[in-house]
Amino acid sequence: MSVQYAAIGWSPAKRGYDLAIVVGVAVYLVLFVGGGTLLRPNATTETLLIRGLGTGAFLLLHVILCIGPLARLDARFLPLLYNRRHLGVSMFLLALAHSVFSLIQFHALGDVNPLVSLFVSNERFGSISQFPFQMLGFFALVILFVMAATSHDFWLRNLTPMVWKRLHMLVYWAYALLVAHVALGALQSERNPVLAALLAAGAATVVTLHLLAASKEARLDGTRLAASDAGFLDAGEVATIPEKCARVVSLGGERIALFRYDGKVSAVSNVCQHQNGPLGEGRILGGCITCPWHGYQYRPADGASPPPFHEKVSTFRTRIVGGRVLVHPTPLPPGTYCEPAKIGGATVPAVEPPPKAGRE
Amino acid sequence: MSDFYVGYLPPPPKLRHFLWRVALALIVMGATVAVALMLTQQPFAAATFEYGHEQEFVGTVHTQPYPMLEVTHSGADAGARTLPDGSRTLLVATGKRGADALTVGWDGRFAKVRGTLIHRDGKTMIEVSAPLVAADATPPPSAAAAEILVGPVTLTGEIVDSKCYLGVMNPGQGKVHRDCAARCISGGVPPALLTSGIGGQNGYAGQTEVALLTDVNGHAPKGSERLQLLRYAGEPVAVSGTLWRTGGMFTLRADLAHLQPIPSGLGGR
Amino acid sequence: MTWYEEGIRVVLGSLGLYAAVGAVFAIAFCLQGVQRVDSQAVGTGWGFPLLIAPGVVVFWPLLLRRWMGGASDPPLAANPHRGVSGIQDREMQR
Repeated sequence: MSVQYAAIGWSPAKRGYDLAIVVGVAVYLVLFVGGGTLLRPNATTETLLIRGLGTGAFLLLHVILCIGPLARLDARFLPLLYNRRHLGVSMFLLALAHSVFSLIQFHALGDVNPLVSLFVSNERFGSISQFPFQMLGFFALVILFVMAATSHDFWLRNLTPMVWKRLHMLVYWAYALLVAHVALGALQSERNPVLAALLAAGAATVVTLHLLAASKEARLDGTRLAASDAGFLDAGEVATIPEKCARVVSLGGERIALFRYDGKVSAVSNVCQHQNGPLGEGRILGGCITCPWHGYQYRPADGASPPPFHEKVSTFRTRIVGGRVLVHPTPLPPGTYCEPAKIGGATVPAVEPPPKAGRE
Repeated sequence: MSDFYVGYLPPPPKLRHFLWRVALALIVMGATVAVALMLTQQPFAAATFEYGHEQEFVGTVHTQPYPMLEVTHSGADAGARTLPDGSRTLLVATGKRGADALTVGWDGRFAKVRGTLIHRDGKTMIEVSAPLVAADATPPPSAAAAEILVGPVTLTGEIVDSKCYLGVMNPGQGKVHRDCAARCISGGVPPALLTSGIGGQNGYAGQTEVALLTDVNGHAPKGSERLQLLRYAGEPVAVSGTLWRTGGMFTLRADLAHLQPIPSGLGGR
Repeated sequence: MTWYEEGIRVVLGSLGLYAAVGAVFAIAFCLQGVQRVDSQAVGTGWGFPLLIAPGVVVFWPLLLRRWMGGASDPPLAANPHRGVSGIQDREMQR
């Protein structure tokens, strides 16, 4: 939303978020490394650090991956999505520390360059139990680095949101690599079932939440709208759209958000220009559609951000006939003014809007 | 959607309480995982690298098959672990390096060795930290035990690098440590077989033992034999050869070009 | 040395060279270039260039092309609605 980049756009909520991250990471490391030093006196500090940092980063990655689907399933989790990049960068830093300590411990001070050693010390690619698992961790770290390095909004804008999103979807490759890294590495040495059980439970949680969220999305995209006259499509009863909220309809997989406000209905693309956030899950605040992900705002009638901002989304023509909202499926160029459809009189009472939050 | 949140506005109180509860739950979960993983790690061996505690040792240097010191005097520092006179202790260099370069031309000579002690289960090693210095005194007659042939054996176990196994790393064996074992052996650290199979061989106790690995002639492996050791370092193998014993130290002379990896973890652990 | 080890050395060496060029470029870009290719980067503090520098080391060829091409702002992303409504982004026209 800014017209000028800041290193970090601090807000009280972000400070609270980061405080929770720091406390969580500190508690984890103190318990693992500090506790290990006290209760396992034979263990070396390097070993405890490598294990604590590695498991801590991997656990944090699970949390990061679960926030997305949780927010789709229950909107109360959306604020956790808001500042997820700080969680991601913290996770990368833990993973980096784990990798640097491991590279020093296992590969440094030898007869070849440590990075070369990482790739040539174990060439048992044909074996499962002996597979060179450290390389898997290296490739995952490269993905996590590129993601952390491009987490600033500068990159979102300069790589374009679509490319940025694709790049950041690589996190699932990183996750798969890391599951294999743990399963073919630590799990081959640690014979207690706790690590195996935690790894399985973590993967099951991540997969289940994603499947649940995907099935919810698929239900929406699977609904076909009935045709009306003049190319318009029937998008359902206007009375069932809560005031200052939207209904999201899907046209061949592309989604449109139909907002009801002040006795009018406007339709815009459901895709926020910032990070492709779901505008239809937002609200109208201060007369503007507000994206639930990062608060980017658009005027409902023309899909343009109010000055001095210049984000724009496509708009769609709407009509109201017999208490039903009709929408024309052809998008108008982003920022095009489109007369909102009037609901007309007191004939169509709005359903009670959910309790409003925040200030308007 | 009960409460709507925008990052640049203060969150509604109800939502804020929900979020703090979520954060607390996540931190408690993290703490539980940390404690569970920390407590259920495999036991750590009582192996020690006296890092930062250098001592001076005096004795006769032997370079075959691996650099060793036949100790006549040790433990100049108070509180240091002293080595029994006449015992043979392996010499290695700092990092992932053997002491071959440090002991060139020193075979059979009486020397002062400055270094750090590494020890596990009564087995010792010195990480040499400075060039050897000739000792002034004349060496006493060798009190070292003679080399005894135990017999032909086929042993299963894990190839380890003796330096890490004896205490520089903990654990200094197993899958996670495997790359390091290969790097250390490649750098000249004496390779060894970690095995519980020596038990029953002419009445020796059946606990896990380390046996230094050499070629059939009792020399440090070279060429294809060395490459095979690097390839299978850190994993269970079967090795056939003749077992020798010198004092408390076993040596397995074997055709290392024909190491047999074995699928399950029968290696000593 | 095996062909595999030789290959690893060549690949790692090339990546190192790429990153080294990127690091030199990142210094110049963060001091000067970033304000030329993105109007939102004008007048920011020192924290912002520091945060984007690691990414510049990775994506320097893209930013170098924009800088040389005299672009004053990044291209607008395409999305299906934009495409259908006839708005093509500058990136797509190249």
